[in-house]
Amino acid sequence: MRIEVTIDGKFLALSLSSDKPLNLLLIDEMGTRSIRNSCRGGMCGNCIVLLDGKAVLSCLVPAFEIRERTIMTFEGFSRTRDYRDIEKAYAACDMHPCEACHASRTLLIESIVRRHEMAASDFDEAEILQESALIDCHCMDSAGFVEVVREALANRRKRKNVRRA
Amino acid sequence: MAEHMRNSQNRSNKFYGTLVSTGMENVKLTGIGLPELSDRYFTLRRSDFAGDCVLSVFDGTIPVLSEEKILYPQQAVMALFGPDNESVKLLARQVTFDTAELEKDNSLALEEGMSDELGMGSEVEDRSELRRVDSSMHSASVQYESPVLMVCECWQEGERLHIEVPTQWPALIRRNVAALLSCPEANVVVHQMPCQSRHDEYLIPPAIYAYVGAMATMKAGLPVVLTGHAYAVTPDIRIERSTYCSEDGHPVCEECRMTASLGAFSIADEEFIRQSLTGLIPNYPLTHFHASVEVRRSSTFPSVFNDGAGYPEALASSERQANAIADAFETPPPLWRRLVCTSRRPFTDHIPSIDLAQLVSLGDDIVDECDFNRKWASYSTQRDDYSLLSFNRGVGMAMGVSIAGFSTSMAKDFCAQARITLTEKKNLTLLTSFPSDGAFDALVSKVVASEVDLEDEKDVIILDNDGTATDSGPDMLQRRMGHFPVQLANACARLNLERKDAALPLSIVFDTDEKLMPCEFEPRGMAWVIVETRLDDISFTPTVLDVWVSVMVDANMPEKDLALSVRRQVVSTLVECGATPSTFAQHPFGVHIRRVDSLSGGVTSIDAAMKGLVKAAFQDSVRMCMSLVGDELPLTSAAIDKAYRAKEDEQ
Amino acid sequence: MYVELRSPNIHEPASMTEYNNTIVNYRGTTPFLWAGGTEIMSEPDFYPALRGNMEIISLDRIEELHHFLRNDRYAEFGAMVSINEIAQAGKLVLPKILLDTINGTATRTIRERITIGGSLCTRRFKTALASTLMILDAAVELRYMKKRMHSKWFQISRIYDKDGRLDVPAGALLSKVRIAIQQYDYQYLRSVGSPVKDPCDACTLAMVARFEQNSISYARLIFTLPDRGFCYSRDLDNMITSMQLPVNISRYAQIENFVIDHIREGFADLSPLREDRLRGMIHDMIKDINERVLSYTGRDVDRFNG
Repeated sequence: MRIEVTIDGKFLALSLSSDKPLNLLLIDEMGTRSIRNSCRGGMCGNCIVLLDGKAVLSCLVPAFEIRERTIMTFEGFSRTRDYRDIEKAYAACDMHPCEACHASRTLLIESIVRRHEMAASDFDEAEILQESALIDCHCMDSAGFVEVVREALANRRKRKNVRRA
Repeated sequence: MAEHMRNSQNRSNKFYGTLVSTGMENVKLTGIGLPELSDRYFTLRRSDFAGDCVLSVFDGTIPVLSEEKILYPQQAVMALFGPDNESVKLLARQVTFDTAELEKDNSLALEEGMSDELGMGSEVEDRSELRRVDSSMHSASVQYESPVLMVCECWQEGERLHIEVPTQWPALIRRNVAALLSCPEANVVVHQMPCQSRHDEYLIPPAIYAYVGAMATMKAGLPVVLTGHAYAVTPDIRIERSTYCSEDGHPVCEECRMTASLGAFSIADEEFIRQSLTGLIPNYPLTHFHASVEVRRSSTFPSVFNDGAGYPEALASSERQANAIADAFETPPPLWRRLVCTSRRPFTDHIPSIDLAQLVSLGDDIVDECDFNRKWASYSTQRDDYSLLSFNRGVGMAMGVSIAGFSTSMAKDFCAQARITLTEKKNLTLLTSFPSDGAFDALVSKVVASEVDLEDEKDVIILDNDGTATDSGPDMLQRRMGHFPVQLANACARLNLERKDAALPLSIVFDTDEKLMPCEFEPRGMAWVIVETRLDDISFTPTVLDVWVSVMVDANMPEKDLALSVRRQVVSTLVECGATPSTFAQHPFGVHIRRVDSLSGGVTSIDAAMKGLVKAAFQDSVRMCMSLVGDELPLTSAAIDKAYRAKEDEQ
Repeated sequence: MYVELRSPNIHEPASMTEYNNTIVNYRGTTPFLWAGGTEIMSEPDFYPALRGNMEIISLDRIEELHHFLRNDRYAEFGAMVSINEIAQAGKLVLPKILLDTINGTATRTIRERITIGGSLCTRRFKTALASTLMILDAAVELRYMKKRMHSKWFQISRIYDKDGRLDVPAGALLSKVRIAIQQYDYQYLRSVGSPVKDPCDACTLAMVARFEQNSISYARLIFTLPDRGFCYSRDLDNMITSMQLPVNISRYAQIENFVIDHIREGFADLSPLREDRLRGMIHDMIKDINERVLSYTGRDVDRFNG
């Protein structure tokens, strides 16, 4: 099956099996280094990418679903200014994800930040706590994750000069 | 270079492969049914290998492909190669096996294995006046499969064979592949890819993949890519302890017995015994102490190093026993330790003397911070009582010293080295086969900077040795962070002396492990752990609310790496024990870390201790909620339910 | 000879008419309907698999299945609306128990991919969402794809057989879900265990009720055992409806035993753990009802609403 997709800003036309999971596509076809997991439905949470700006577990996305859509992997995201907001948040909270989950955790935080950056109200802490369980890595506790999200959100709003009601 | 080579290869000129296993244990293979294969596919079987087809690891061997006895589920029978990954995986699923029961003569003899004992002090003749306190611990064997896709790529370039694989020990691959191909080790180049090894799963499986991949490359004459998942099995360990105490709660003598099943093949069993005996020595003073460790074979993948070579479990049992004694004499555990652990712990062949006052006082801050004594008193009164609330809470604590790396005896048998060179440009280069990453690099730079005067402050460069030049041994048991920096510091001190008389460049080759210590292990940091757990009578799942940790570490240990390592070890150990970190919005799970810098100068690794201490503290906190919970870890909801039913029957 | 791997054919109809045409064109084959894909993709051997001749119909681009509408009496959602969108859109009007069920399903990142249609048609396990919709008397629209398309509304409980298996006629498509907008005096939901990781011991209890002075005038309760199916009946509802409030301690055990016996009749050999979890949930629910009744002043109506 022929699939046209934009990955990390590059427009690509790929020929592959239509049901191939996105994570394997990124590993096999693109050589993406930030995704190395293939948990085969184990929900390990370590294969997150941004699909049209929203975090998804790439092992749950079949190739046919990404046609004409935009994918951002950690490699692409780490070159953006938005990434700096999250990096600063990690440093400010003294919470540093390990190498295994750094990419997925960062993209998950980015997705949460994008969802809330323009919102008038504060985020739902219970929901963020629940989100923290998505990534099966033990380097950061859930309270720390919430702290980083809060800090990253503040950084983003400050940088983009978002005035909250 | 590996990157360049890989990119220059055409994907259509590669063979993709997978290892095929039966998924069964303790069976004899009587037949293998292969699907029809076109000429674009080929198999690699035991008969394709000249010689034994075994992997030599330390003093033991492991069969790579086996078509007779299948002892554990992951044991590979054959390898299948073809033009693409997907079709190979599908074909591998169609391979069938005929099996028969393994005859008794051939099966694993459980008596096989070895044992050792440790005795301290003089035997107490009359125990009739003493009160006996018992405790037991059972860490059941657990299999892990890493979710990370392990890719092993092999290709030939002239006389050289290149292997690119994530591994903890490149030299193991190089040595074994060179033996397989009967070529000099220099002709095998191992490109070590980064890996996160939680259970030492990248120690042996990558070597098996590389071994098979190397042979397939030779057979096909083309590059091959083997994919799969790394796996590990933890040992099954049972520990029983009996302590005889005087009326005032002071322990007098203790007997301790540990049995461990370490998998189908023997690898460094002696080291496991040494590490275990070190952990079994209790902190409290005793007139007589006797411990025995027995290791056995079992039908699992070799598990000797997975989960810390016995030290964490042994330490956990020591601390569980201390808590059991405190409980028996109705004294809060921190207070009991303060009363009993007053002198120095005696010097033994396994570990030097330890200042117990320093260890006990390390926990003062976190005991106050978490209000341990009040909680202990309050929760003790509610033990097993679910009438008012549908949940109970418990607190548990443990303290101990950490060790890292191999024992002195092991270091003497097994030579692992690294090399530092002070170049003419006053750079210091380090040649090691340890994988380089942020934490390691920072530590090396810090150690070198504190020991060597680099004058114009040039860089410390860690060289990628391509797995050919030097063998620093496997990256496990925290050798890289606990042992190595001390050895590096000593080498730097030597370099400082020799540079005065010698011309640059000046190189020093040094051992990565200490061989001259009088004891088997050196203490590498101290820690206290307190765990607060909530257990409800509907889900029967223990939820951990908070963990407080106090650690005494070397000042060189970077803050960021310490926090990362502690958090990770705490949470992963809790999850392995069957606990769930709290996600209650009103009380999310948190790890509260306090750090005390040690001035001793030895670099620290507290991972081994943290694992054991968290296990002990968690099990104790659960016991405070429900006293009849069994001694098995990981703790399951079914086990808690069983205890709940037993309590109801009792009432 | 081994058949080479072929990519499944993907059909992405943009409307129901196109969907109907696809079905008619591929009569004789069993097309594979693809909603969010979260369950299918999490099957361990999903890829690679021999499905070269398979026709996959992705429902994602059918506009109609993404619609939702709301009036004073009910909210209607297309089958491809994600459960997260339902929770967002119906935050203020949908029954709280439904919102709690949705919010308790996986994490938001995954909820955004789970569709309501997909979660009612799972194959490997039963979802708590299906059972909650049953006690809320939700209805589903089934579209029958023949030469002429026609549709029919069913009570949600009627799309499952007595063992909890999906029992939709071949060729029918679950296209809409209709949920009545009404609140109850009392709503209780408790889920224990994960239906994906621990389906043999997981269970859920959902209940809605209306109070009348010191008795319950209307009650519906349902148990979900993810690997076995749903347990609900008039007998259980009647037993709860006849309860005098507050329930005294001696009645606790009677109710508990009655309900457990009833579940055992439907599902033989419950594991001890699951049985104790179910007992615990019943106990907790009665205790919760008692607490609410005893603290009810008559002025604070909202106290009953979860």
